[in-house]
Amino acid sequence: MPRGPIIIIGAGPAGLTAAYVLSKAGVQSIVLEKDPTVGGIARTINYKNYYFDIGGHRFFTKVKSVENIWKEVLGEDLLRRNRLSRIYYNKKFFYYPLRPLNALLGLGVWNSMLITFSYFTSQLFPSREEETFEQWVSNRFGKRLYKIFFKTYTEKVWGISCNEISAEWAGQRVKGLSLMTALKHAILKKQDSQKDKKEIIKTLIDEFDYPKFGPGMMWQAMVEIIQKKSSEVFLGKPVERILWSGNKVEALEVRRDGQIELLSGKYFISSMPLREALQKFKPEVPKEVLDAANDLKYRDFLTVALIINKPEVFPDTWIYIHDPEVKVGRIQNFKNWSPFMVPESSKTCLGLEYFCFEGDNLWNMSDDKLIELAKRELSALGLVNQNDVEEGTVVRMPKAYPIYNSTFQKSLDVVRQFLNRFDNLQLIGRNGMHKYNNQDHSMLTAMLSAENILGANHDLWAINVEPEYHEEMTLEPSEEAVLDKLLPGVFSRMDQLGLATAVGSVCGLLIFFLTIGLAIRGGDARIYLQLLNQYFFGYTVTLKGALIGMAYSFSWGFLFGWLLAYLRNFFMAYYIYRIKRKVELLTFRDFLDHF
Amino acid sequence: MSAEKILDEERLLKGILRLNAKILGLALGILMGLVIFIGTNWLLIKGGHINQSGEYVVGPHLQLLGQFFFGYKVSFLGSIIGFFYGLALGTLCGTTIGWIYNKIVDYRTR
Repeated sequence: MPRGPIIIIGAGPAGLTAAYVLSKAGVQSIVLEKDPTVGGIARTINYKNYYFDIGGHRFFTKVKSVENIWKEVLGEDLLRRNRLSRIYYNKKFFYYPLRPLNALLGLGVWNSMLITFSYFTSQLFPSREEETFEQWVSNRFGKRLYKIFFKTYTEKVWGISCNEISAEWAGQRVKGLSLMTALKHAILKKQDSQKDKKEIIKTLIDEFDYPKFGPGMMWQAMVEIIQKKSSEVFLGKPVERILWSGNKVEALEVRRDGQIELLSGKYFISSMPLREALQKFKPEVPKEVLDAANDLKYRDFLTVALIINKPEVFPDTWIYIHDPEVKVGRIQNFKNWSPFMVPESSKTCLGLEYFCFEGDNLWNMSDDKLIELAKRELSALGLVNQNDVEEGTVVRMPKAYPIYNSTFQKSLDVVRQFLNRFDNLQLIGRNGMHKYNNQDHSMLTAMLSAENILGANHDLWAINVEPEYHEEMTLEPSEEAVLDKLLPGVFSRMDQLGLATAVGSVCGLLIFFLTIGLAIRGGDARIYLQLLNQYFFGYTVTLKGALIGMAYSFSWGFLFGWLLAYLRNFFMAYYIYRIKRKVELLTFRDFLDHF
Repeated sequence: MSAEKILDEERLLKGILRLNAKILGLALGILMGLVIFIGTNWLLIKGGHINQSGEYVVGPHLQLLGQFFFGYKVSFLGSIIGFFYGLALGTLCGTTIGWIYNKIVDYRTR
């Protein structure tokens, strides 16, 4: 059992989960949160009893232990909800994930034909360079489909042209998927019946769990449980300095009521944005580490929540707005997330989400102007009449997304290398690790960090390395080990020369012994075997003929064996390529859901 | 991707397939055995013809296998005997192919 206080920085899903797991093990901790509310980016805002979420957080995971915590904490208050999300483009709605018939009808026959043509063109003549997001997506889906379904939204999310976004970022999720994993899933998937498979995919895509009053309810309930077990959660208490020496973090300087307070600890867990954390180290970290930390960038985000004087506006839980004419990126319909989010059934609450950078025009715009902008855009999209909007409020969320630009990985490596020296500091969560973790993976990093304090030895950076896709299945470690051992033996290249020689030798020996046998014993079969000389010139059923026949059949066998091995390698390589490509596309299927 | 996974992938991409000589032998043996068994019975079902000497002959060419496979005839019993001969020869050939192949791979990857 660890002695001395454990200090956790940040009361978002990660920080609170770490405290929760520790408290379950009977270990007390202190959680420090700079904001006056818990939940981090997954908080819920209560505006005149209208609850709304910052970004919409589905409770959806394939990590059983995370799911168990959700159920333990909220029980019956965790509702099972149906998902409906669509893309708004060119004044039409398209289901997302895309449904072929709906897309065909929405885009029109002519446009669909052009898309098909553009797809085949990209397959036949792909861009040789794959340096930008545009090239990466166009090579896989065709230029036309890329422009319709990826370009505008991606540019809204990241605020830069798709030509400036590196292909590395686009491929980030699929790049981590190893060939071995792809093959394992391809092989095992065949064992499940099509019906079961469709059922699993449908459930994973079309349904999710959601707390009755939004995600904030989960974090508030967690705080109550933690506090009951004698751990402490302090809100509005920012960490000003992280004091360290050698390979240990010694203490934190914390601001409380304008005063600086020193808080010593034995272990530290931080979910504070990595850049900010490094800037707070005292003594200052080496210059190259600080420069690397400063190179880590974030995309910020604001929500304009509007109360609409109508019981229903649209059936979706959220809509992606691909229309380049408006600035809004996504619209949440909180009443469809949970009917309890809205106090009056005759009203609806919509959240218009704008992606921006802290300090840019949008971020600095006054709340009133933002509300006006949101009203105008809702009306321009034809979703709500401006007169139906009763009122609204604005919530700004800095550092919502870590940016994966072309230099981030290098900078992150420098930072990690520096932080590796600390044996009593663990980094968790999305911003804490500058890693695109969703809520569940953020929680998982926290759970494992708590287990590390309790004696385990988990590598937190190994979480969420492999991307997921809906068809993915869980493998038992024993099954995985067997497959790891077997697969290289099955899919490796066959030695063409080896097989050619082996088949040639056996064929040669076979003809040699057959000929010798008949040459010695005689018999009717001689006449028939002799017919071989129509192919093997000079062959006779004699000792000399046996040698000639052996040479001929060795040559033919050699050729046959070589060709067999060549074709086997060719088709196997094609099979592997197809599987890898298919899994890439499956991984990309819910691409938009990850912003 | 973890170092272990990269290693696995390298093994997959750079590795050379090794054959299981016993399994290859057995597979080829069963295949050859079945070819003889089915081939013989097919001729029996199809029926034969009466030759110039007035004898009823079924599968005169396949019958020649009897010169190598002692006891083999174009009859149902012969098809079973032929199956075992085919099995034995196929197993021998397959195992030899696998053995030679693996020796060459060992030599080339040494």
